[in-house]
Amino acid sequence: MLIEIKMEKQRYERPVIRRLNVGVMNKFGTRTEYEPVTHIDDNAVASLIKEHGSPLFVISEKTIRTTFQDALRAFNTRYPKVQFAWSYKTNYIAGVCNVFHQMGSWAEVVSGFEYLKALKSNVPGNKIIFNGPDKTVEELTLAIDNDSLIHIDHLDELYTLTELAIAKAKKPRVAIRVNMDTGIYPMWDRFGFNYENGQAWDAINKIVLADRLQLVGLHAHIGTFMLSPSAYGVAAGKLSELAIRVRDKFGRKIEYLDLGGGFASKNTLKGSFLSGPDTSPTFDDFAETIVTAIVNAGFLEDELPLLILETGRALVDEAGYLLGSVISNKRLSDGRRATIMDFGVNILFTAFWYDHKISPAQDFSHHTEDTVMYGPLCMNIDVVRENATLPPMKRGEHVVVHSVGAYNMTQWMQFIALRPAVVMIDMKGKPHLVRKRETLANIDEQEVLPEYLRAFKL
Amino acid sequence: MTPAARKYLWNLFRDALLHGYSQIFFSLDRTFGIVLLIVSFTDPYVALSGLSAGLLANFAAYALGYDHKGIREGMYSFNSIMMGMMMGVYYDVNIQFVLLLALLSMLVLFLSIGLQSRFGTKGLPVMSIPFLFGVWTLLLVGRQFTGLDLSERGIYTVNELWSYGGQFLVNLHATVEGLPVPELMAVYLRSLGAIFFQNTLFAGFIILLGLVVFSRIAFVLSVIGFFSGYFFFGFMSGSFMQLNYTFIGFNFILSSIALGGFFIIPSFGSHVLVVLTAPVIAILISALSQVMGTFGLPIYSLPYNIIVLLTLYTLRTRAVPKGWLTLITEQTYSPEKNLYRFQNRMARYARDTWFHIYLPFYGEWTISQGHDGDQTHKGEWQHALDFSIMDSGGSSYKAPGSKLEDYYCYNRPIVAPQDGWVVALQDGVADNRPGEMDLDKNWGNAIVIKHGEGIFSKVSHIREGTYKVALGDYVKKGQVLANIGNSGRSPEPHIHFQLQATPFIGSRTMAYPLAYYAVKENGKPSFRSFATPKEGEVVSNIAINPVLKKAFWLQPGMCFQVFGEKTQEQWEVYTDAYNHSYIWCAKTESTAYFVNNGTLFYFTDFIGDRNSILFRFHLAAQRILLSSEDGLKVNDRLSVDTVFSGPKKAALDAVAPFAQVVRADFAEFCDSADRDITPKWAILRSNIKVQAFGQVQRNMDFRIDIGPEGVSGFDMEVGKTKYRYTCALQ
Repeated sequence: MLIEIKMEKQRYERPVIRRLNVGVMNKFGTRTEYEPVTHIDDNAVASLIKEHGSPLFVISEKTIRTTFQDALRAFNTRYPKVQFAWSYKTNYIAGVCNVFHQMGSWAEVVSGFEYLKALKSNVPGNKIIFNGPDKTVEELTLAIDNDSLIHIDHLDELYTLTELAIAKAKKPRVAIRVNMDTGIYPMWDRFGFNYENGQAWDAINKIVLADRLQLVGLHAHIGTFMLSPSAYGVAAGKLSELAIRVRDKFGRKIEYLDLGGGFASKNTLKGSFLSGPDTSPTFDDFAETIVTAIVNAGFLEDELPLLILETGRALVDEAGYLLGSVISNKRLSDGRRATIMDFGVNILFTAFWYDHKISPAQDFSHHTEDTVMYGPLCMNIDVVRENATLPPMKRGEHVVVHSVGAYNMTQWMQFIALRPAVVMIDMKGKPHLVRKRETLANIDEQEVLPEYLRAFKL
Repeated sequence: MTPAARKYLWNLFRDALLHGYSQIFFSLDRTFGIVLLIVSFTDPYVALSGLSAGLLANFAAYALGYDHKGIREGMYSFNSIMMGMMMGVYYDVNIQFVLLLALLSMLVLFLSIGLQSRFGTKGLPVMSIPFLFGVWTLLLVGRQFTGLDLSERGIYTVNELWSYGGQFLVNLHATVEGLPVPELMAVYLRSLGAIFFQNTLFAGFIILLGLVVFSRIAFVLSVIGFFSGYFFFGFMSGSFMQLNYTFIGFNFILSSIALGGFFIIPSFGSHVLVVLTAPVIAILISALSQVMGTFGLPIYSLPYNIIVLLTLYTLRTRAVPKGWLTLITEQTYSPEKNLYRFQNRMARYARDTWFHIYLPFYGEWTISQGHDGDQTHKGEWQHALDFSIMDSGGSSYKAPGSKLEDYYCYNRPIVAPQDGWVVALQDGVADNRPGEMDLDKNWGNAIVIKHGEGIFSKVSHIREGTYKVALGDYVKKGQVLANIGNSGRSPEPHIHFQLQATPFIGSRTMAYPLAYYAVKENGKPSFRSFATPKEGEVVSNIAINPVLKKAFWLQPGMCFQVFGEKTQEQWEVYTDAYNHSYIWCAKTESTAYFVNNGTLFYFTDFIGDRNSILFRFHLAAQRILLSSEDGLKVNDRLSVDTVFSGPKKAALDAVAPFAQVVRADFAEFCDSADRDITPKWAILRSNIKVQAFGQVQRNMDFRIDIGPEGVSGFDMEVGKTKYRYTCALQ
């Protein structure tokens, strides 16, 4: 009897010549740290690309939800009143925002556009936190009408709001943003009112004594990609101190303390000696220091303020993947290998900050070679990784870039190329298109061509 | 005297007098009192004599400064009334009679007061012992004080009737007496009348009518008890002479009502008790009449007094009271009410007397080992709970789990499960590494809090040096005590929580339920009250919604205006001397008793007008959970008398001690709520479904609107009719 065994054709991998380095001998040879990533949440990379084109952003809903549950658990098992507010600027694709809203997150926005986007997603006005230094009179008016929580950034905004409140005979709910020395560099003292020099206390006094605005909260956002939880402890302590001072002087309760965001994700910062997963603090680390500072600040049992967190990056970064394909391989003048990908800094903005982990999307041998990864732009700055250890890949083969969920889908540029599609894989492993690939029509739609410029002869 | 004070006094003495009459049948029903008063007027001398004695006793009790509640309930007058009537039966009225009546009435009053203070400490009633002493005294002195004239009335009944009511009354009497009433029934009716010193069928009929209106249970009991005693007499071939002549059989009737439904919750058991005690009364009647006969004194209600007091004393001194003969703790003066209240209390509040113990942590935790667990909750420590935090994959740690920090619950705060004193505290035991155990100091670092006498809680395996409280501190519920660690016999960080009766760290556990918590199954939370979480359940404390908390925080003195389409009511909150809070509506004279324990608000009782808005609100808000968490629903079963009234209820009463044929289910949940940082509103929905024999009879839907100032209104929908009421705090 004949048994027919169907086998795939062995993949051809071109040979590599590598200089031998003197070092400790290793009987396994030099290996890549990477495993091939052929599937994302049970969806084959190849078939996703086949359907939606390359490059392609893929978001795992499962990862978002488990990460959020981890973060929530870290806080609500330590503190009785916790509320997350989804930071729109981190990723404002409606599908992503709504996953967070479904899990109970409010919205945190920093512009009129984001504010409208949140409203359009049916986030109730009183669950929108309006941050940022630039809020126009129209935007503030809308926020007042919707009873949103307006976080005041500077005195000019405070005065504008007071005037609006008088004109509308309403008492908008506000918080002030406080900046402070938490022992980290750089100190973000350009946002809000300073704690150490008394600006914050002055602003609080102005608000409470004028009695035109309701001071309901205090806000701090001490930095971004923070690797030191202790700084949050300092911030929480200083905010609590202000809240207790307000209680003691004015007999008013500060309803919430908003510790902002800035928790580091598991990405590896450029120049970092150790990789991200080894250095980034966990949600538990952040929760522990923040909650300890608030609990020990001296609030009475029943007047503990609500703790609001605007974490964006740490909640969504790991849920995002960028799938791309190899355009070409070439040898640089100094002998280094270079791989040109079909995605660059135009859509992977975070490549400026991180050494993104990149995995081949198909099996490979254990032979690897150092390579520079370039993007497709005809710009010298378009470098995805200055140095990556990867197996040799052929034109048309795929890679998976990890942890790209935060900021890329908001900071991406329609520069030279159009922006790719975004697919979200649901809890059951079913992919859904959540943002279509851009087309020329999207660009045309916005352009207005004066009549006299229509015709030309070449 | 102000008009209000005059009205108060008038009401007090009116009630005191009428209750003095109805008390003889253990009732506080004024209508029944009026019926009895009228019945007594079949002999006006007897009636007036009893009335004067009663009034005198009440005035004296008032002047001496006795409690108005006791006076109002006729506690001080019913013995005097009976004594006065007896005196009217025996003697003719003259000046000596009046003097003696006044003095004896005082003697009986003092006896009532004196015995009450002695018996009360044993939890026993005075019954009609003062009356017995009074009337025996009267009979003994009557033979010597010849100033008293023996009455001849009662001998020439028809003559007397003619003198009061002419031929009509004589004819009526003749008709009634001449009715073809079977012998057995006649004896029963005459015995009933004899309670009021009337041996006519006519009086028996009227009292019977009053008794049926007052209580169906009492009526059934009186029949069962009477015939049990009667047939026993016959079986023993006893002398029927006494039964038939003095109708001393009323002893059976009164004992049956007292034991079957008044001092004991009406039940199958209480009916059996009645059947069994009646023969004993028969024995006592025969024996005691021999003894008393030598003094020439009738025994009256002596057997009844003896048997009831003896039975109650016996039941009260039981070491382990059994369920089938339950003594009344709070008298409502109606067997029906006693029964419904008891059933209501057993179904709804039996567990509310438990000490309220909550979960000792924040957030959602999983029971990693329940009561009688496989690992360590055995023997004396079987009633303990282990909690840890699990992720969505069911793991208590994140990989690799080799250090304590990998465990989700490590270093989490532990909070006080209830107010109390820290009575034991162990610190200084270092954490184990994961997988290792300290079998030497097996409890590790532990804290014991005393919540009350004989109720302590203990948390073990605390992290060294994290205590935020010290030995002897008074801690408040929810206050952070320390952080969880891995000290003692603990291979991985977890909370060991147990309740115990003694204050030591090594004390044995006690099976004790947790007051209120939420269980999450498949992501859906449900409400639990006074239960013990099971292994594997995901539990959390219930978050109280501040708007609901404020809305149902009803303090004495708060006033509400309530408007319907056509009606309007004003409600005020009061607290009585027994610390029971209630809402009072002056217009409809309605009272709705309620309890707010911080997690639940519930009505316990309603007295008054069933057409009032207050009654409807009391239905809508039977039981309200003060939380707006999604999916939490409270269920309840309403008392039959809350849902039914009138003839329907009357028909159900007679079978109520034996079977519950109808049930009324109540359910409540928070429909939606403002989830703002300073929430302003919430909408609650509730429903009552009445079922009889498995068929839905009536369905009522309610909606309660809560605004920033409290309850702002409610809807009631019965069938297609919708009622809307608005509420405003004054």
